[in-house]
Amino acid sequence: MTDVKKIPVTVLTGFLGAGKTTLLNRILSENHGKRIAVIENEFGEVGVDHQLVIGAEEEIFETSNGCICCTVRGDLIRVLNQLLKRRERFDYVLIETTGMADPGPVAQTFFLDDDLKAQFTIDAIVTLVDARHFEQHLKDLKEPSIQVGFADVVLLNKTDLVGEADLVRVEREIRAINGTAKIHRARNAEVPIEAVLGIGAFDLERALATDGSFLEPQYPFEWAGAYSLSKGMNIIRVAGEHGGHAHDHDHEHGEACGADCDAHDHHDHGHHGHSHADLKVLVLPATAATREALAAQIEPAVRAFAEKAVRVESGGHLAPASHPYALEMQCQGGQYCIDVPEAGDYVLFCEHHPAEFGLQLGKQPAAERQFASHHHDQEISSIGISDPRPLDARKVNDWLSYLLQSRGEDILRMKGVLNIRGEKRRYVFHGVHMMFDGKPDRAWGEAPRASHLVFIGRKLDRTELEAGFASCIA
Amino acid sequence: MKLEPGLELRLDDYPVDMAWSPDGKLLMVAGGEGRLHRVSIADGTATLRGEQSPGLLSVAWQPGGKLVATAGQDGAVRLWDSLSDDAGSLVHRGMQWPAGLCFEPKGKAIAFATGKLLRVFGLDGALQVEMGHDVNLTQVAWRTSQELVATGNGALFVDRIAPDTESARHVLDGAPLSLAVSPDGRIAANGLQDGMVGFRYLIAQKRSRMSGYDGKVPHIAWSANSRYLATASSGAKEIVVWDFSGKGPEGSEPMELRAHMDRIESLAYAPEGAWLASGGRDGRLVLWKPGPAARGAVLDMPFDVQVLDGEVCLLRWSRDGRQLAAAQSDGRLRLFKLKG
Repeated sequence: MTDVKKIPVTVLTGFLGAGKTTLLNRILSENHGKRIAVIENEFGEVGVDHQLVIGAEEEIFETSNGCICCTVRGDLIRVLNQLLKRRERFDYVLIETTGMADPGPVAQTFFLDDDLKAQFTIDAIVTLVDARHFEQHLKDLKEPSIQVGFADVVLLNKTDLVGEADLVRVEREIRAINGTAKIHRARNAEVPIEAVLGIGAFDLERALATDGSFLEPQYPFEWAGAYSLSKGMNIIRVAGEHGGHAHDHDHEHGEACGADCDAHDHHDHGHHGHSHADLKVLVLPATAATREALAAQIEPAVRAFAEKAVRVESGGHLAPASHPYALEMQCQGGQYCIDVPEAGDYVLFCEHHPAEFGLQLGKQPAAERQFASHHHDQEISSIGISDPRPLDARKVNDWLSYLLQSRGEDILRMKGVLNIRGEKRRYVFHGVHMMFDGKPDRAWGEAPRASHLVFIGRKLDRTELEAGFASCIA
Repeated sequence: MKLEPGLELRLDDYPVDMAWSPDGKLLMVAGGEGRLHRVSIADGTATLRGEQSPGLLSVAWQPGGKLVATAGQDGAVRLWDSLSDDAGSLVHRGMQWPAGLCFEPKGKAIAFATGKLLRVFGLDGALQVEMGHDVNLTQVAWRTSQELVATGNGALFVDRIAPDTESARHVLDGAPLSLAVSPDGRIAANGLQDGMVGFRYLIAQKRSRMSGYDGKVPHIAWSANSRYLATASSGAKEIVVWDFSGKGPEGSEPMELRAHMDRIESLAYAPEGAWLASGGRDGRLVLWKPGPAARGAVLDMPFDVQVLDGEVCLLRWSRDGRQLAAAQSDGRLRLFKLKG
């Protein structure tokens, strides 16, 4: 038998009501020339008369090695092996999981069953997110963060039902969980077919190349804008928490925020996730209101953000200083005054994107920049490591083996390109829980040699991962 | 003893299952694209009996009768009169693939599973019994006219179909890929996903399992006298045979049969006599007669080897154990007679 091209598999996950069926129907009815076999775990919803829609009841089992995370999907093993008997009938497989499904066992099935491993390759895990309900689901349930954590592509759906500020915040939540997924916004699951099928997300080079920003250093602020300010009072207006958008997306908050809003202490909301009661800002003088001048203030800003913040109530004053101010956010917004000693150019650094709070400084910034998301309260998060130093192959092997043994259950996904000393070629790997697959890839050639690793998982400890990585340096 | 090549036909579909008529004169071949062919051994002809798009999963022939039951990827189970050319009759249709379709030993009913439900239908298409279990059922077999064995992940059920009787649920050490109940009804054997074979002693009420396989075990077959169980794991070139005589295979080494150069794709024990046939990706069709041997023996001298061009994916013996149908993945069908 000669080697045959592997059949790509897309795994479609997402909470009930996120739009999986709509997307599936769109994919099946669109004329894209692909013959797709669909395995559905939620029955009877696909409205398109399609020959190869197969209903299968989700069936998870552990494999014998006794490892709780080495679970696979028996229904997929049976159905796909049967389909393989006539593989020329289809050239693509789409697996739609139930709303509560953990994509882990689905992905692991393609590592653990030898017959499937030989014939199929996971193209991508696509997770649909309902823009309006995601945050609530995130608070109440563990599945949405797992589904987002596993994703190569997140389709932020129903964006027409929420405002821009909410979208920015939801995207930030997604980004905090999963630093590498591509995020597409969509209404009614309308995205180009290329955004979800045949994207080769498990192709590591492509996956890492598309999202370099994740590997940037992380900052204590998400946004900075350079302004030319006049001497004296410059007013910052804030539309309020959540950008002044209706509170219907956040029941707990909405209910608490009634007529006695002013008397209500919003800091109490910290327990249910991401409290926006304060917004830290910092004002630093700059040499010009340009992108370059802004960049020059990043280092000082990082140092300044480490200082204790001075609290400012609505109506209060702040000034250019080497420490941040914590603007106390009120429900119905507020005003804060920057006292500028000299007319000139300044950079305003914001802990969160200003759009989330409807924050305005009376004029548009002359230059602005966004920074990689820096903090979150989610249990599941992403950690990226980039380093040009060559690694020792044996040490890397030992470290990754140890990591999989000790933390495999908590690591949802990991992927990377490694710069191994003495190797002309890149070494690429990816893993799902304890399953691991790695191989030498194309040569480095003229490209700068550097290792890039990404971990997505529960309770990841950056210090521990960085120390482990450092121990592998040749 | 030799296999004597006879009829060779090319069918316009990939065979996924075959069933012989009780008299050995006709063979029904179910295709992966849904075509059901009736092959007449005397004429050497194949006629299209019906179609069940997008594909068939299994076919069974009524013991002592002329009906044929099929299960398809359309989620339907149909009954066909093998001799007429009508459209067949629909017994059931659902979203899920029916699993484990089989006739009651006297041919009076059919059983199959969809999801967690095990169902028995009369030949008039009326639902007779429906039993719900707590796992998806993937294999079904009749033990007696009154008793069914069904397996799914982690569980083996013995269901009595008489009214007001309880099902028995037993632990199964893994996820089953195959089920074979010994012809004497004593033992249910399961090939498991985790490279093991599980045995449930239905009378003695005990269980055991045999490990040591390199991969999952999709192929298992009992000898007619219930003494030997032939097994092959996915990707393996050798057949592992467990001997159930005396104290049984527990704690012993099995026999190994080696004649294939590439992975085994099919195993079939004749319903009469002692012949075992194996087909492989190497195009070899091998005839064996496992007998008493030193435990742990490795046997590499089969009775016959036929070398066909192309993978031998499916083997079925006729009821009398004198004819063997061998299907190849390109749609070719070869028939052999046991001679000598």
